[in-house]
Amino acid sequence: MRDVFELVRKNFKNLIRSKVGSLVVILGPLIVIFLAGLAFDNSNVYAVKVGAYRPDNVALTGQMLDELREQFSVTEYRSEKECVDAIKNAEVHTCMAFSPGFSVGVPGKNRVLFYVDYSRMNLVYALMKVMTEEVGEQSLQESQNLTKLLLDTIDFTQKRVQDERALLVQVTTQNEVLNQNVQDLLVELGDLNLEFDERLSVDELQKSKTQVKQWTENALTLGNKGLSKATSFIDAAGGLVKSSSASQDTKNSLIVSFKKSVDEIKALEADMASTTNLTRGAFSEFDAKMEKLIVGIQDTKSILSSADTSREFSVRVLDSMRLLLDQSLLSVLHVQQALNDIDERVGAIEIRDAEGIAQPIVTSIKPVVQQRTYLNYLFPVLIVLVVMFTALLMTPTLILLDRNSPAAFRSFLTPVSEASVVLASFITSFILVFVQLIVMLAIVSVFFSPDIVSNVPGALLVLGLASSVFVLLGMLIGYSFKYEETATLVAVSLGAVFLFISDVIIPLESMPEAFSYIAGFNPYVLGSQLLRRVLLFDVSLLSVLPELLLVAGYVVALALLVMGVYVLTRRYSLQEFLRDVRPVIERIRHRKK
Amino acid sequence: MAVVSPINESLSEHVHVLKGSREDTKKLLLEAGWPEQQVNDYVARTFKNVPNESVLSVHGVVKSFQDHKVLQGIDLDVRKGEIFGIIGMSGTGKTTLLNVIVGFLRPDAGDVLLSVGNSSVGVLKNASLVKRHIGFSTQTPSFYPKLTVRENLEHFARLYRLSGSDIARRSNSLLDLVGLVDARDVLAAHLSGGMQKRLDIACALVHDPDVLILDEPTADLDPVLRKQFWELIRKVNAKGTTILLASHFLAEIELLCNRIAILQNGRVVELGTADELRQLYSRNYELFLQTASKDYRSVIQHGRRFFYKFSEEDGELVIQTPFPERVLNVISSTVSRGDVVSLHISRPTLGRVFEAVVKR
Repeated sequence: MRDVFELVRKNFKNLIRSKVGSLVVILGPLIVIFLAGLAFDNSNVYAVKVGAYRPDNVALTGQMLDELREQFSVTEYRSEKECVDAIKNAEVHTCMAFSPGFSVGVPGKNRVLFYVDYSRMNLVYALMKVMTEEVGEQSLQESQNLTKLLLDTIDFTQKRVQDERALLVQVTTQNEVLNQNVQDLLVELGDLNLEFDERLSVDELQKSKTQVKQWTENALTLGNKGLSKATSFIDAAGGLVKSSSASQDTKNSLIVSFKKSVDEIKALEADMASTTNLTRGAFSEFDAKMEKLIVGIQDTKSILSSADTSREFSVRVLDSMRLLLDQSLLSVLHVQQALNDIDERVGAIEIRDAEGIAQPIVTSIKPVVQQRTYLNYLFPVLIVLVVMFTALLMTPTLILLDRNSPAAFRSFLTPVSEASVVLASFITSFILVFVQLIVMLAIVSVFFSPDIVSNVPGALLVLGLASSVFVLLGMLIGYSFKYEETATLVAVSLGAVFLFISDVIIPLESMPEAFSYIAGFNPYVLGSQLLRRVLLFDVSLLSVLPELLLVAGYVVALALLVMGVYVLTRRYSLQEFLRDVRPVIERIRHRKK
Repeated sequence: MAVVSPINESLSEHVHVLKGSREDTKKLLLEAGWPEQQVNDYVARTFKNVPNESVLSVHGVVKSFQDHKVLQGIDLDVRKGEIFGIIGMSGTGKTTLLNVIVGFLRPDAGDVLLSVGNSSVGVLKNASLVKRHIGFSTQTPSFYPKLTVRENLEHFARLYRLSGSDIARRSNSLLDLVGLVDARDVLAAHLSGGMQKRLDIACALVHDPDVLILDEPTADLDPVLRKQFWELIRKVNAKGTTILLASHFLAEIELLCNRIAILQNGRVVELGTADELRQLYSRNYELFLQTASKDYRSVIQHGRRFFYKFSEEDGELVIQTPFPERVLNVISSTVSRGDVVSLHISRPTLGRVFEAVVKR
């Protein structure tokens, strides 16, 4: 360990006394992070130039452009082609072309076409986001207005329906009452017998009248006859009495009684004659009245017949009325049901505000963490990126500076173990990277976003592991190549590979599956994702343990690999090693043949 | 194989050309018919500064880079306390051999053994242990330019796991040894070339290694600094550190090294002391005669049979001969003293040996 300490001390002395090296190693990342901080410590899209083409001077498009002018520099062009050409000439970043006669909500006239330059991918996404938000906001506003109008109408309709529904109920009730009345009337009319009793036959009445007259005449005649006969009888009786042996007194009494009876019969006969006269007069009157009665009966019969006809007509009319009333009631009930349904449906609409309908799902993106600037979001990716390139470039440079220094041979001659040399190189580079990290974190925390580093221990652990991986990769490059230029090229290439197979340029999810799978093992991706989770989401280290163990596995595997490569290349360069190995491979091939 | 030259005994001090170990030399001389006493005296005299104990042994080391075989079976021993030199043309595998020795390069075949205590340990299998006993200074100084002189020393001392007090003591001692006391707090990058070289040596010595390996240590130094550096190497060696020195500066190797190995095409083609190598590849002495008359016909006529080669260059007769005494006799008998302008006799330099090896 003493050797390691001595080698590390020597490395630092050499580094510190090499002015250019010190500047590059120490100031380089600081400048990078400072510039990155200045560049990303905002949440705006500055200096975005928007081109616009309006075929006609619609007020709405002018209003939209005015609102865009609040955030962007907007230039209007006379044609769509000019606008598109302006993108090609880098005069503007995007071109928005409005439909002719632009109008909200009118199909074919409500279109805004955006032209973007996809070769500026990052800007495209930023532009699309911002422009979509801006135009979408205006579109939403219009949509809300229209929806509000619609909703007001619906509300009005519902209110009217609710108001008029009572009237409809009243109509229904009245209809039902009417129906019932009609039905009762029908029953009444049905029960009404207007048929003339044929027993009251006029002919028979005539006959009866004639018979009564006859009977009366007969009775009168018979009466007169009886009275005559009674007088005759009394006269006869008187003659008898006179002729009788009865005492005279008795005969006189009898004759007096007879006489009195004859007087009475004669009075009766007078009365009879009077009665006959009266009866005949009365009968004439009766006959006249009977005639009138018969005429009346006949009239009544005729009236009753026509009344029955009317009744039957009325019954039919009432039947049809009842049917119509039933139908009407049914219709009213249907209308009522429909109004109920309308009311129910309208009542069932929970969202009654235009904003809620026009934008049923509010798609505003809320950050899961309370960060505000791009630097906050980019910081994990950025810091691991800086660590990666710093470690990949600085470590081989340091190693090759040492290996190619005049003292390399003498160092080789010292009885220092290979493990000590490797460990010393690792510690030197690691300390440098880590010190830079600390300084970068401090700069970012102090000058840019104070809340950027929340989980310091976790972040340091992740950064420590990530730094170790990249330092070891740098060592691998440093020990594998002889010349600094070659090593630098390889380091840059390796860094580029890590960068391309990561989610910095395009999301992992949009890559082919195989690429995405491979990218999952990319130490840069692992490091940045771990740091993002730890820094931005403040997750516990236990929840990212598998990823941490994977990175730790990388560290162990790379350490062994670096050791192996160092042992092989300490005496030989890689080329020499390959040359020595080549005969062995040839031999193996020969054996296989 | 050792070769013994049939040289006049009177010049034996310079003409015994031997290669190999003390025992090999003795054996070969005896086989060549030398009297045993004379052989013993010779061996004792020749190897008087050369310890017999091997501290570093290279056995059959082969190393290829792609299809190019850089080392093709290197065998050599470095003895304790000696300064062992390796020379060779560029690309002959000197640095590769040193890298294999310190374990920086793995040989395709062969092994390198280092004596640690009473045992020999393989460099590759005991890299950590071996590193504690070997110091290495490369052609390009190897230290951290952004650290001060003291920080560099202390850094490497700590990596060699010296205790705190030892670090300070050792650093001070080395600063004193390499003459960088005044520059101890200066950034290494701000040192001059010579000082950087000395700092590199100090760094290589910080853990007090048994063997110090120097690869082209004076390649970038001016003659003055180079001489200072040679002094430093001698001082280090005087403290008991075995030094393995690879250089293409033949004078440096000749001056400093007890023994020298010549590498050619990935092999050790010659190994021995400087004298031995000179004898092996150039038995001839060189005589440079310049007369006022510039007429050398008589000398050539009478002395031709003793000449190996001769030439006239700029009025001067250059004679290469294995029998300088006889040629001198001929000159003295054929050229009057008054006519002699100059007469020089010299042994062949290591450079000529090296050239001979390369030409071969």
